[in-house]
Amino acid sequence: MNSKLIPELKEALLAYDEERVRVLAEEIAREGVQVREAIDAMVILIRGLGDQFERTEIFLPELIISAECMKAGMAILEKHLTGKGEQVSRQGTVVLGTVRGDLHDIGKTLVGTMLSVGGFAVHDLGTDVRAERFLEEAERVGADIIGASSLITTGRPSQRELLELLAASGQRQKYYIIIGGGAVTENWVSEIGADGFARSAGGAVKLCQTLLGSKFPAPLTDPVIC
Amino acid sequence: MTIKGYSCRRPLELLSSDELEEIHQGSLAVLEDPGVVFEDREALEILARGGCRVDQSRNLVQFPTSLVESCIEQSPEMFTLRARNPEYDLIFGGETVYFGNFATRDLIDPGTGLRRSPLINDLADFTRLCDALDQVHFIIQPFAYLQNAPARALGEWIYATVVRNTEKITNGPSFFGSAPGIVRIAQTVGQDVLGGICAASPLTYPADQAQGIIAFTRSNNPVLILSGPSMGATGPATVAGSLLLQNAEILAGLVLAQLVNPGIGVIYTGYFTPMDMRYGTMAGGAIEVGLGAVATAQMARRYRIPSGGWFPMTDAKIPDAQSTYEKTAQIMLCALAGLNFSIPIGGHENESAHSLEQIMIDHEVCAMAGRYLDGVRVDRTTLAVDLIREVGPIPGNYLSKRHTLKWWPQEYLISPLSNKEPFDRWEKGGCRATAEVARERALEILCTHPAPNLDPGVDREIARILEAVEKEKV
Repeated sequence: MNSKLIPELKEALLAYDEERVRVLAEEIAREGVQVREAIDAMVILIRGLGDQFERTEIFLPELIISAECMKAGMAILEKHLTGKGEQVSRQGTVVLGTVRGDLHDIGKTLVGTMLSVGGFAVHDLGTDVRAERFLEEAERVGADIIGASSLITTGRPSQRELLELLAASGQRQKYYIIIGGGAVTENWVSEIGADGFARSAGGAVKLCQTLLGSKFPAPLTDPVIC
Repeated sequence: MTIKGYSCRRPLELLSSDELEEIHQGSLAVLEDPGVVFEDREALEILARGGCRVDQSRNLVQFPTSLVESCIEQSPEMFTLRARNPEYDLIFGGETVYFGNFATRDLIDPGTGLRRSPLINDLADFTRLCDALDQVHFIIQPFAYLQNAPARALGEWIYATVVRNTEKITNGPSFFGSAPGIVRIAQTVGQDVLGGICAASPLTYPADQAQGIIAFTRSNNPVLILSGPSMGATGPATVAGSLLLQNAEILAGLVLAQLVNPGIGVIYTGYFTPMDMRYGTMAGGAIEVGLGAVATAQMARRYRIPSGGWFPMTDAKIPDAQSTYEKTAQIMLCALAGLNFSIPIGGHENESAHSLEQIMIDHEVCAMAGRYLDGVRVDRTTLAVDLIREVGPIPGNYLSKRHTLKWWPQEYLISPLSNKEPFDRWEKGGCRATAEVARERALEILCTHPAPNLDPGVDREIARILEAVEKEKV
């Protein structure tokens, strides 16, 4: 066993060297004894980076690039675990997308990245997603949370449509619904009866953790704002 | 009231002609490969017929250089937008400089000071306020959202509410296929509409924007095509790279407009902003937006087409020192650059919220920028050699001279808002801060300035069109 592999993996992450992260993750997987330790080390590291970002000690590109490096390493390590028939624990499952009529991708993708490095299974449906499609995917993957993003104000009706469709099909209590993006304000969250809203990608991780740790099932009377 | 715009005779330059050429050539390369996505069948057909290479499976359009250059050539250097009252007609392009108001999502409620969603009445009020202000030469819909309008007919309701409250030139937004309904309302009222089109960076035209270009230009209405890459997020982190991407995106829309209606007016409109990587916010008040303003004006002049900017902006959340210095820096640069069209008046935190105070403050800065553009009149009378000789050294003075009586109000901008009183008078008046005075002025205007007359038959016809649009869109 090479005891230097995990420190080297952390170093590669902090150097934003995705290729090196892959190589080291492969090596750790091949040795097969430190896989869970490596995953834990990366999770702790990325949480620290998230905190540093909140304190504006590092900036968005550093955070995203390190999260992407981590995703690449994580995929390799998790593949090894599932290959051996071991469980990969998840905090919950989130279906994400930008609503119909809106093609803006970046904020939603950033939320997806932060959620996946935060330990959530994320299914990103992309942009211009119809309400029905959110529901199909949520059903298929057994989601806990559906996240619907809209940057432009003209995407707002599509967010409302999603809530209406859930209610009309009797599925509103199955999922927490969170909304986000430039078009969303606290008033809007209450107006359409969503369960939560976060102002930042880091906030979205806290929001999902809060919702899944909540004693109350969906729909919530008072939305959670992070 | 007639519209008094400005002229910029010696525009500021930031980039050399070689640098402009490099941006142009780089944009042509990007337009050829990878090209631009248009998420609309009809747009793809028109572009294919016009000579573009179209990959239908990816909605991807690749533009041959010769087509782009001939379409630029076809775009007019200047064009007139007709208002229903001819006194409000505007000529865009050349040396003209016009200001308009900004468009936001929310407003800061004048009563409570809290942010909230706008209602139809708020849109009517803010339009009336802009109608009354002489530095607002054209009106952009003050709000891009209405809480109590039917969602699918949002664009049509916004346009109808604006034209019911002003005779000035206004734009028509492209929301959910709103262009045809807006054109019908414009024709009923008897005016041109400036079609508002926004590319989604990088390199994409969403369906409603592509359809907007087709519907507005086909009905002979000019379009302002804006592109707003965010530096480091939806565009390269460099000013030059984002300018190049912006240029490529605007040109792609311009080609579609010229293929639909050769010779139709296009306003080349910049909108790029940096992203503040500390927070992931759009830094609309950044000085780099000012760099973009000057470069955008230069690029458009190189193409001999009218220029515009979807700015100035501020990142400040309330009317304060930051909102004022950020807006002022950008307003001055827009004016000095000779940008034909910009929207300095009102707006906080990019496109988030309007306040009455900021509208009045920006209006003041536009008047100052305009005074600069009006320049220095140099002739025998203004040089006043004879008068200087006559007055001579101290104790001579100019206060009692007829020359002063005539010239001081012409040469000096009598500020509509700024306090120039002596200290004791200001103190007696209650030591009031500018924002407080600004708010009071705005409320006075709202109490006294009526909406323009609109023929009741025309008003009924607008209502009928709105009803029809709502039914069609259900």
